[in-house]
Amino acid sequence: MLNGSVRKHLKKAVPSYVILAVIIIVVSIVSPSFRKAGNIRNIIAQCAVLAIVSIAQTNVLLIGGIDMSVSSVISFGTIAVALYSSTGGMGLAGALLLALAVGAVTGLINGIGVVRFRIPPMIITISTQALLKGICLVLMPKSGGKVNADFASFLKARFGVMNVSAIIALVLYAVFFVIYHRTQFGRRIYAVGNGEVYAAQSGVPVRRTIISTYVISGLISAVAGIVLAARISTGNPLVGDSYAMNSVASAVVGGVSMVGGVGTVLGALSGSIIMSLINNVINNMDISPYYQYITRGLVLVVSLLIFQLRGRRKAG
Amino acid sequence: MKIKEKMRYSSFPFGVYFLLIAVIIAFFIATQGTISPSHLLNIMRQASPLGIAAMGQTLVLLVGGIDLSVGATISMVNLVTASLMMGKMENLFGSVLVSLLLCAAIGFLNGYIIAHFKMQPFLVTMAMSMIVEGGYYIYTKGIAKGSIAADFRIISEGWLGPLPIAGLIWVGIWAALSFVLHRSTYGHRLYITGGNQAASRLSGFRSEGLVISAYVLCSLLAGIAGLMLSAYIGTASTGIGADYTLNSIAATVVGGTAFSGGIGGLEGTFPGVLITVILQSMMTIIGISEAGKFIVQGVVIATMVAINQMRKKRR
Repeated sequence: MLNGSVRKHLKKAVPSYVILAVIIIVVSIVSPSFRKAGNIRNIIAQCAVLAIVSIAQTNVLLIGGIDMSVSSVISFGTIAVALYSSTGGMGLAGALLLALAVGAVTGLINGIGVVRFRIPPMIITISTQALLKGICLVLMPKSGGKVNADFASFLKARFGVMNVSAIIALVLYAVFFVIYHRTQFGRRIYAVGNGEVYAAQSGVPVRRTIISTYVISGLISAVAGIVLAARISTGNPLVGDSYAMNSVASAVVGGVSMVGGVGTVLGALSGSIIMSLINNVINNMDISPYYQYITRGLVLVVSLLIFQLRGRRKAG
Repeated sequence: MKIKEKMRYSSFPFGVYFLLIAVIIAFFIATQGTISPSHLLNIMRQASPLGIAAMGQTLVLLVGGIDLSVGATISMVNLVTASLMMGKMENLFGSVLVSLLLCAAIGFLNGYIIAHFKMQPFLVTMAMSMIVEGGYYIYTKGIAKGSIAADFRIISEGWLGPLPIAGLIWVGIWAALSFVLHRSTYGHRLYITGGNQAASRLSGFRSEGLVISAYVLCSLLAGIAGLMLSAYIGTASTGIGADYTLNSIAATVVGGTAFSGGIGGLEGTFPGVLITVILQSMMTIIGISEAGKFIVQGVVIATMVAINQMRKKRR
């Protein structure tokens, strides 16, 4: 069912699933409070936002780019929902559309900046990040507003250990897995990531593909912002800030290469779960919360080393 | 005509200086001429920590890398120096020495891992940033303690006649580093390594050592920036360096240093920093606060880099 190239990309995600399994098994044995259904439900709810942003980031990393503007798109998403959704159904629909439209426009600017003006992806996305952050601060200098209560409770509604936000995340992963590994667009993304010149010579519309990935990244980050709004029930101009770096870290821990063309979106899923899990594990094992930063850094270093050593063994 | 030709082919970033002049003129107009040169010197004083950190970032970009741990390093220096100094001048030597040694260690690890294991600079320095941040959280247990000795604060607060001491330190380091970059073999090799690592290896340079030295210098300059920032605010405060990572990268690329390595230099970074800071204080004076700063920053970075890229293509 899976052809060779898909299997090759899936293999890159294996170490992150092994790390995830080891963490879960060890912590479940050591800490009884970790195993409780309530805690597992919590973890799954916490994971949803980072998991969704990581799809956006993976999508751009696969073509050899990077998207730092996801953070401001997320913050804008929470603000749009908090400002306009409480007035009723029309307000809610308008707020969701506004969030998605701003995400798409940000992505379009990023994409055009990269292909038309040849601005390095890191720089153009830092610029749009700053620009949009400014707009967020104009609209809402301090966190506030009110998220439509029905909408929030819908996204937080539970089915067993899952809630609706987590289900949305999983559905998005399934959709993007199919897009990347089963469609022409997906093959084009991997082709561009493996070398723009060769891709162009084989008839891939390189510029259009690159712009589309940035637009998709903006749209998916907007979805993450909407989901986050339901979780925190308010809008916040700075709430998205940590997601830019954390989504890159999640994708990389999941085996997605920053050079482009290598890795799979399923790796980003386990990577983002590992990154969100660290916090919870540290709380449940009674370790000082100040160890969470250093642990995240070390997990990133360990997975980088694993990929480096595996790559070297193959080369040598 | 001849001057025009010369400017077109020179590697000196005239464009950034024209922009700096334009920004200063705009600043005069926006404030209806109430701004005196001493105001500008005061802005320069406040810009010094960023100016020094951005020079470090420039060196790293020149060897084709990037350092995302600059901000965490600056925050760490503030917390470590303040907690060791405890407001007493007699602890000065020890606290500064410990801080700068920690910086050198951070830079060495960054450079060694990147050069030796051929790993992505972005990821290595991002992980380092998380580890340094985690390290100072564990060290302080979340409570920033200590203060900076009053006499030491002179490096950021003091004036030598009409000139701010902080600005003099900034320009002094700039002059020394520029001399090294343009007049020494080390500097030339740094540029060549950034332009083409393989070629530099074939030319017999130890490119690994050059890359490591750039990261060590970058972390040390971040350390000096951290000391000056600490002297400026006078106390320990968690996370004061956070903005410096992206701001130093922004100022560097506005000044014309390329992401690909080997192109650009400190002579562009200096006006790059001043442009960023003058625009920000202009926003404050006009009354567009926080929000305006980010909007202006975004627009300036994107347009300046776009112009630089277009110029490169035309040549």
